[in-house]
Amino acid sequence: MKRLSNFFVALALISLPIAIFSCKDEKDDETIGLTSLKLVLSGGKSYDFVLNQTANTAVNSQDSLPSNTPDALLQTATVQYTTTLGAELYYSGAKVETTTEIDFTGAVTLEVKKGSVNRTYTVSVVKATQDKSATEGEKLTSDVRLSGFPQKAIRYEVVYFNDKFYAAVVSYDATDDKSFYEIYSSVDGTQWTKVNTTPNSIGGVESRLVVFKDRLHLLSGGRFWGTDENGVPAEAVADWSGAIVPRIAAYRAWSSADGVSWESDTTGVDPAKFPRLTTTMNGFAYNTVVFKDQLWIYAGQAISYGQSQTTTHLFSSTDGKEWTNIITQLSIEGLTIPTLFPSSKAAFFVFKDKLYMLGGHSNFIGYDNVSSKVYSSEDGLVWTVESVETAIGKIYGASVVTDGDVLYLFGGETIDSEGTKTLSNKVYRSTNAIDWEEVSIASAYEARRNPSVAVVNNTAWVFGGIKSITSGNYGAPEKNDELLFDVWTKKIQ
Amino acid sequence: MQRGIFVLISLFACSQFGFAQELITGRVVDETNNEPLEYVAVTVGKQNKRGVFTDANGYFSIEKGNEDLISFYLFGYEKKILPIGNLKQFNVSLKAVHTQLSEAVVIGYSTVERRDLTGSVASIKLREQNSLTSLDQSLLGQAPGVYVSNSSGALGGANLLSIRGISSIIGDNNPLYVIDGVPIYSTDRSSNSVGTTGGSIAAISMGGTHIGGGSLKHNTELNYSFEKNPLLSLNVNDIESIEILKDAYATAIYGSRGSAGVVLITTKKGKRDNAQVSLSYAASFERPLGKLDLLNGDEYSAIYSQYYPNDRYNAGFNTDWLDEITRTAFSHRVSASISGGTDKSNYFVSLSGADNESYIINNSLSQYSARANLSTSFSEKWMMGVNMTLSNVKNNALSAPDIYDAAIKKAPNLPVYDGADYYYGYAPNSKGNPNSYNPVAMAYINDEFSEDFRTIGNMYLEYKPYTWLTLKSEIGMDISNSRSYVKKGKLPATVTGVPNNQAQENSKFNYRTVVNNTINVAKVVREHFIQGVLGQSYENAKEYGNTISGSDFFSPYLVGIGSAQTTRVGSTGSQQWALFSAFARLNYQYKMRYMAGVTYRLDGSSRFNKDNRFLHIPSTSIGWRLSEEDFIKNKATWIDDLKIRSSVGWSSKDGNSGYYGAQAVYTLNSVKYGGNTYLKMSQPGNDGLKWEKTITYDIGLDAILLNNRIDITFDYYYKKTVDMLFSSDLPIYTGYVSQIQNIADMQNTGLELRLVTYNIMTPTISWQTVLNLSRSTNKILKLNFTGTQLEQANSSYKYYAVGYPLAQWYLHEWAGVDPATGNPLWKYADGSIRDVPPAADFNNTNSNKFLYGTAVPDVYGGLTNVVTYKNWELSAMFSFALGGRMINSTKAFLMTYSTSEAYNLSKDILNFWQIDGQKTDVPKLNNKSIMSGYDYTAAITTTRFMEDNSYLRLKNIELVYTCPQSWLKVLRIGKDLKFSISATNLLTFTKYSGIDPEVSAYGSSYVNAGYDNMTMPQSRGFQFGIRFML
Repeated sequence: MKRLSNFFVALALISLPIAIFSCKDEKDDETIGLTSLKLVLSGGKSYDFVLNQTANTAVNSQDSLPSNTPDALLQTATVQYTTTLGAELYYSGAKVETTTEIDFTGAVTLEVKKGSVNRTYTVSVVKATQDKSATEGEKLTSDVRLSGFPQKAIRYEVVYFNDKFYAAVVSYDATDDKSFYEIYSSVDGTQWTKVNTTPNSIGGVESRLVVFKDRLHLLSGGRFWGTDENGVPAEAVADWSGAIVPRIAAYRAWSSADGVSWESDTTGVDPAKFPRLTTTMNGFAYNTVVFKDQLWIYAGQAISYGQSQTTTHLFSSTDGKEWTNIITQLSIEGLTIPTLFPSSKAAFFVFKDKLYMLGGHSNFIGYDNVSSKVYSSEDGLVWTVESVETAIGKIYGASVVTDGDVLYLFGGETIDSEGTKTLSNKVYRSTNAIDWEEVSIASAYEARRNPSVAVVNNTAWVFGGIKSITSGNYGAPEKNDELLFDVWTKKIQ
Repeated sequence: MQRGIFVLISLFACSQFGFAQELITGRVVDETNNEPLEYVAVTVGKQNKRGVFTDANGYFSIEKGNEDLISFYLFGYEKKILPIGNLKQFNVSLKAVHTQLSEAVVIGYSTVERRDLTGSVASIKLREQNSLTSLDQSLLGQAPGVYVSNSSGALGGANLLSIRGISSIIGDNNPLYVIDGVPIYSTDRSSNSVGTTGGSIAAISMGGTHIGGGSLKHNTELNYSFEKNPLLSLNVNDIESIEILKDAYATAIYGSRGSAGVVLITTKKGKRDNAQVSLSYAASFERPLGKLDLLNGDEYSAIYSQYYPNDRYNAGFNTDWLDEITRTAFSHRVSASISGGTDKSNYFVSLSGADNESYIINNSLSQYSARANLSTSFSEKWMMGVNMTLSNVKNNALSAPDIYDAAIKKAPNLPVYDGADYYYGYAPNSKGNPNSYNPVAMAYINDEFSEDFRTIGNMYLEYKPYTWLTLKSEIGMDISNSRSYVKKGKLPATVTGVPNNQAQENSKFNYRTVVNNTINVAKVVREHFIQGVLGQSYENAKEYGNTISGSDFFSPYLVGIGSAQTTRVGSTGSQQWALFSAFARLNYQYKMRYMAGVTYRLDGSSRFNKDNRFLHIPSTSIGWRLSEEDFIKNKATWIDDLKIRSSVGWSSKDGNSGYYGAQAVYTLNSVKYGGNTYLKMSQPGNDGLKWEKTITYDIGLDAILLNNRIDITFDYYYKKTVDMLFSSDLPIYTGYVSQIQNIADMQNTGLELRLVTYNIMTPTISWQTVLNLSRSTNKILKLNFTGTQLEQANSSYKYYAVGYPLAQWYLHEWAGVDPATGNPLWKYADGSIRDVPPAADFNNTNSNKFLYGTAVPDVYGGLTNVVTYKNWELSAMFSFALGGRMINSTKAFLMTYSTSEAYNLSKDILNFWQIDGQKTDVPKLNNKSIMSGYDYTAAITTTRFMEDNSYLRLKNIELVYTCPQSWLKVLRIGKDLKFSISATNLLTFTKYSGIDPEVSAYGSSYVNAGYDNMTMPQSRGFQFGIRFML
């Protein structure tokens, strides 16, 4: 009996810890479903659905179709979608392709499948009951890539020139590591066509498209990734550790009178007249503005050993070819120290014969280095403070446009005292560049930074922007920054 | 071998009345194994009037009187009484009863019986183990208070071993090892680290996303050094016994080296008339304990293509890099020994060799050792002897951890080979580590090894003018010559950013000598027993070392650094220290019931300024054997033996301040002025630097119950260490940032239990269970600064503050993933849950951290069961640790997709949040905690990767078959033949999500323990062994 009890004691000693250690956390069931869904009408205009993962429904409630959209378009609509990893979308038992036509005149059932797991959505399309373009703004399309814009665009900038919108677009195709530096044009802002330019590869990442003296100018830009269509490789150099890092090998500039034929603005020009930091270090991501019949470059960025940092550029030009370095003439609040120039990603705009600078940051993007001030200048050199802080707060990456009487500010990235960066989905209006009020905008208008905004007939045309927060502390462009490809109009009034 | 005090009394009492008649002679052996028994009391007469002891070889000689009976008695054995008659020769075998009280225990400079101990000493008799490569592995779970953790599966890598917790913050917490009286030093991490960079400097990545909140991302200590196990040079099969001295009374005799405990190792000796030739062979097959569940090429492509939509990560190619670099390792070990003796001399000579394969391809470890233990008596009173071992350890597995690390991280959509050559780089993937290497090429192209030659031994001369007095002089030495060589093979010119075609060689020559002179006394006067030692010791150590490196070898066949086209001399120099000591110990017993002891040692070390050079180390102990009192003897007959004991005393740790910690140190300034080189003071002098001191209180109980069925040892201790060394900030005007000072006090407390039960004891079946259980806690009592101390001594991001255990985890609290948004949630100090990582608020980051305990388990130990049935023996040893915590840094790496290195990831990443309402612990890929260039989700300073690494592990199970003697006689093949099969690490029960809950990325470092950082898991092995004795 004693032996038996000893045996059970020993058994208990062994088995108790096993029981304790054997407990395992239960795994969650696999969750599958749609993660985005977009309605695409014939012609390429697209509208986003709002997914309700609880009710398993999808309705384009925030992105309503115009009230006059004919049902015929809905009968032959297609969808663009994304699902959870590894899942697929089915309609009437067949996998949904980009060309699968679905009749959305009534509710539609779509099924997501992955292995033995499935999930069903009821999808409905609604039309707008009233026109809000004059009040909340109008979304013309959610994705211009479905209407002629390059699929692989990683940066673009839009201006209005000669009754058309022109976009300088940088595309990158990771599949074969190729980059494309192209110009696209559009009459209505939604349907885009590639311009077969001469030469065929112009611009670069964060190049600037500016209309100046009846010519379209394309300034600088980086070529950091991929080989261009002429076989020219990305510009890179080995750093001190042997790692290959990007650089900007040369200052580039072109201009065109028609958007098709482009002339080099550097050929035959003394390199000493180029707007660059040193004879070997070229800039990009300039702030450009036309003021007093001159083209101005404020700040920008340069790359050294792979690190992108803010520069203190200040150049002006009367023809876009030869530039004068006037940084030594700069005076801000009576100071002439260029490092105090917080103008990277600032909003520069001309308003009532004065040049204004709103927000921006100096080299390191931290709370103390982001400006909330509004400066003005009569000559572009001597700057005074108009306001230490506006209702907008500390901001950079915003775009300000004017019709001559009022100002509108779109997008931007703000920063709080804890260093948290937030993209702005607000639109502000001002009549004096100092007092800003928030104006209404549709709830579907997403937060963004660096949108391209053009003013045509008292209407601001807002093209995309970047919807991911600045990833580093120096604002360097990343090819994986998430872009928006939507087009909005907002009445300036 | 064994002796009993009461027998001593009777011996000396009776010897006064001897008669001059004819002699009775004979020999006494153990019935089980025929081993001779020493100190058996052989008495004649009913009243035990006259008696003698057997000698070391079991022989005795006693005058025959008129008595009729002769009795043989040794504590721990059944007493045997035989009629004398006309017999003059008695060859007697005694049957053991199961108690350890009669075992002789080595306690430093002398031995005592376990029953007479008043200090806390654990004794370990090693079982024949075929799979062990080092001594420390054999101690796992074998003794209470001894914490052993196999730090990794790296062959020849150091393990973590500590005795009764932490005794120093910045110093070495390894115990002092003493082999046959020779102290073994330099067992700490820094002394045994081998750089594996081959002379290159790790590139620090610039730009891109970094891990936020502090991390081991650039853990240069882990990535670029290999910590060798300093105990590899000792052949485990040569060890007779191991004694672990734990409390102050036991360790005080080793004075300034004893605060972290002392491990005394006694090697085997030959025995008279018992010539033995022993041969053993063992072979084993091993695989890693488990395999990380990583993404395949297609999954890797899917995740990175989703996170970087404009990058290229091709699908369609799958390489399982872990499969490519691992294998089933085959190892084998051969041992042979010859032992025996005459009435004047004895000898033990052994040879052993082992070739061990690592489970990492093309990595291996070989060990060779030879030992000779000789002694001779050249007169009745004079004896001399020598114990000497020579060893060679060649470790060709230095790069195994790096290869394992690289294979885990390597993108799985890349191939191993590019035609006939290896495939290098990370293209066509858009991102990857510029230093990324082909792990398979690493194993075959690089040449990385270390080779150690070591001689440990002593010679002694013993003079015994009286039976109660022994004078002994000995000279010991430990000479080691170590060379490490790391050559990075040449890579194709198209491979950039990877260190190659360069080599580094490091040579060390160390020798230490020790001279001990002791006087041992053991005297019984009526009811008083006195045992003592008085001695003097002098130790001297010198170290020489240099490092040279070279690059641009114009042929891959050139290996000498001198043949490189560019050569450099790195560190070179020598250092030395000396220690002078005087010591004394006196143990006293009265009526075998009341025991008391006092030990005193004086140490003078060259490491300290002359004003603080000498340390006085006293200790004392008392013991009371209650079982000898009538109220137990008569009323509690179920108690066979019961003793309570207590001790108090001081100890210290000598080497914690470095060789020249108190002195100002000058080095060459790398900046030249006017073309001249100047010296600069790299370390300010500190004349006030003094010894760390530990006072330990111990109370213990030893009991044997129920007719020797249950054997219990219990201890409680309280250790307080004062004047602990720690880095202290200095005022800026001094020109120095910090200095090592005596600024901290700390306490350790603990409970220890050893329970041995003999569950079944029959002639054919026996079952024994041994449980070792330990619990220790720790608290800092004083620091000379306030608040957190994260910047110093903090390669492992631990927290030190008064009132808290040492080396606390100090982390931001991960509160899961918001099912509505997929963003990580964090808990703040005010109790709020937010989606902004507290680490991003640089001004308040520490105020939102929480304490999360330490890496040290609350309870740990081992459970061993041995069952024998006829000629079969089955043993199973479980080890366990409860309440420890581990930062699973491996998982943190494998959940890091945001950095430019684009490492491979854990399959767990596939559970990332994708859809509103999804419940998961993996946030969406683009989430709010990856911000401003930092990824706070992957930081190891958060609770996200903290796990309970409690475990229960079947560490070893073995089945042994002993061939019956009848077979051996028929076959005439020797005295003993055993076959064994065994398995190691067969089962593990744990909640830890990593492969091995036992690993520690910081090797033997106790303070930095608790990180699994791509650390190689241990292996699961199956062994076959045969042991043959002639």
